[in-house]
Amino acid sequence: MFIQSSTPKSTLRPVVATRIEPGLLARQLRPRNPTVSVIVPTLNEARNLPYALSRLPRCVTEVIIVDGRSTDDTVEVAGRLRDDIRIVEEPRKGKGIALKRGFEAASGDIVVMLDADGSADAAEIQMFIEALVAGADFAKGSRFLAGGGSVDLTAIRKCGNRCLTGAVNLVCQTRYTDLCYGYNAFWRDCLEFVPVDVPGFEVETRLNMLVAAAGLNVVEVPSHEFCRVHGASNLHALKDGLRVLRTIIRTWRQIRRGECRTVRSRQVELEPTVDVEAIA
Amino acid sequence: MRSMIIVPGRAPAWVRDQVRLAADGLTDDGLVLVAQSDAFEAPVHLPGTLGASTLLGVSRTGFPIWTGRRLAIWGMRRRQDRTVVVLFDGARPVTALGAALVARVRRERVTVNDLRSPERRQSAWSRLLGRATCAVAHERVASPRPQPDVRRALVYAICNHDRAFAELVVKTATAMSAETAVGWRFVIQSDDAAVTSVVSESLGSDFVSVEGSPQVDILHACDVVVVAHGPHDDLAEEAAREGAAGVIVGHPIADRMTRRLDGVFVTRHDVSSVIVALESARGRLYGEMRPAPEIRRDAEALLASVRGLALA
Repeated sequence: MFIQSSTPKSTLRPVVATRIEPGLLARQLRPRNPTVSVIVPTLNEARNLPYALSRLPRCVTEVIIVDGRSTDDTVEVAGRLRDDIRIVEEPRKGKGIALKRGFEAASGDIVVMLDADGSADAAEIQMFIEALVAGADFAKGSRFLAGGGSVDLTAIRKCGNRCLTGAVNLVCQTRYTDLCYGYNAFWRDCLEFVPVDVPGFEVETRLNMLVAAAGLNVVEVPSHEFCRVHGASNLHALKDGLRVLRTIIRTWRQIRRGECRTVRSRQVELEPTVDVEAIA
Repeated sequence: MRSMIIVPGRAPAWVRDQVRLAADGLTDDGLVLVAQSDAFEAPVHLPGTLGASTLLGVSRTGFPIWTGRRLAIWGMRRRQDRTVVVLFDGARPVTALGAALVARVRRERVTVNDLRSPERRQSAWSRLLGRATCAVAHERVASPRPQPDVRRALVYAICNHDRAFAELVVKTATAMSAETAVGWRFVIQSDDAAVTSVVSESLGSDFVSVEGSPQVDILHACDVVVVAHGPHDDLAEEAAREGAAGVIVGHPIADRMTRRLDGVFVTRHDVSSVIVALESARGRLYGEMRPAPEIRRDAEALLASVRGLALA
């Protein structure tokens, strides 16, 4: 059986079609009304945090701020913005490291990655959750689908993103339209297939390649990227682009050598212990 | 009586507020068209805000304020009875002069609303064309701009007996980052003594102060009026009609949009949303702003002049 999304074809786009086999990810046990954890890595984002959190939908049950040694009052501001906020202080810098800490701290059924600069519309989380509840394992935001867009992408970044996306589509046999976008959501039980072991902005690329290699069901959700509200981005197009390229090559080698964990290998591990009939 | 306001060039946010207020006043006499050669300056576009459209907003009389573009400025429109050409620092002088000439040819009553700063040096070409525009017009209404507004924007939160709302406003004030808080000052109207004690213990009186009874003079002097959704909505609406910004907290449509067509900002009942609404309304997010009383004064002067000219 192939997953059929209940949402319109124009808004959600399956990019990795996977045959569901019973009991693999305990999909049947996933709740219809999941709890949602939002992970927000921050570094000197005190002025932007209200913008990032102002449109969070009511279904969000937990917000985790992972702060990488901010020198402004980011931590103090975050603590006052919402009652349900949890602050994790991470001494090391890097988006990948911060996200890893956030994933470890998350307790929700669904984990959402959200940038702290106010460039993402948190109200879109609802669409990501709908895609996940409809059957996807991993919902990745895309600025290049119909309904998505960006007012922040420069020509150089857009071109680099296209090339890197094409490279990943070639080696992973996917149909991604946007590789380097940090607005993603997934079921927390998928984390065992995607070890976050890169420190910087290449973390999204690594995740996107690993979920494809693992055979998870990935759906793209259109998303609109706005401009950063205050301050300057920590992203450097050339330096981080090269890091992404190195990550693609490294991950590709791992996939070829069969070093990535896949749903099929997980099934072999689980077979003696999981009673599929009972779950069904 | 039909009126038109022409904005030649990319105008800053405070000109947008000024034009909107003047347009709102002119709808008392009939339909109003606001023609812009360029979109208003918006360095930041926030989720939930409306982009450029054919509708600038809905006036206090309930009539729509329509927008036009360059073709309307250059005469491809119905004849208007009154035309106001707005001059500001950075305006396109050729467009302004052309618009004034076209309006004169079409036998419209032309007023130049001069919002240029006397201190700012302009090129000889701009000065010449500006003078020509004023000469073509029937009348010039100058609004001498003050020096850049460096004072703190004043927020007046009307809470009455609503303790939860008063606490939300106090939380909002405390949750602002140090860099943001520099631009703001809060006055909370609350009958609850507990709110006064919380504020006096935890916050400086130059940043947040509490008033027991509603003060009309603060209401007129403030830049933003914040109320909880309910019986005091009309105060926020009145503020928006008077050149200040009105913010309604806990409004049911706040999940979908951030500003109503009558100019009132709407937010959810949470700290982040209120901070974003305040910053959008009168923060430095969109550059330099002007105090609400000055915007109101200049708009009233323009309206009086335009109406007097029409009668003559």
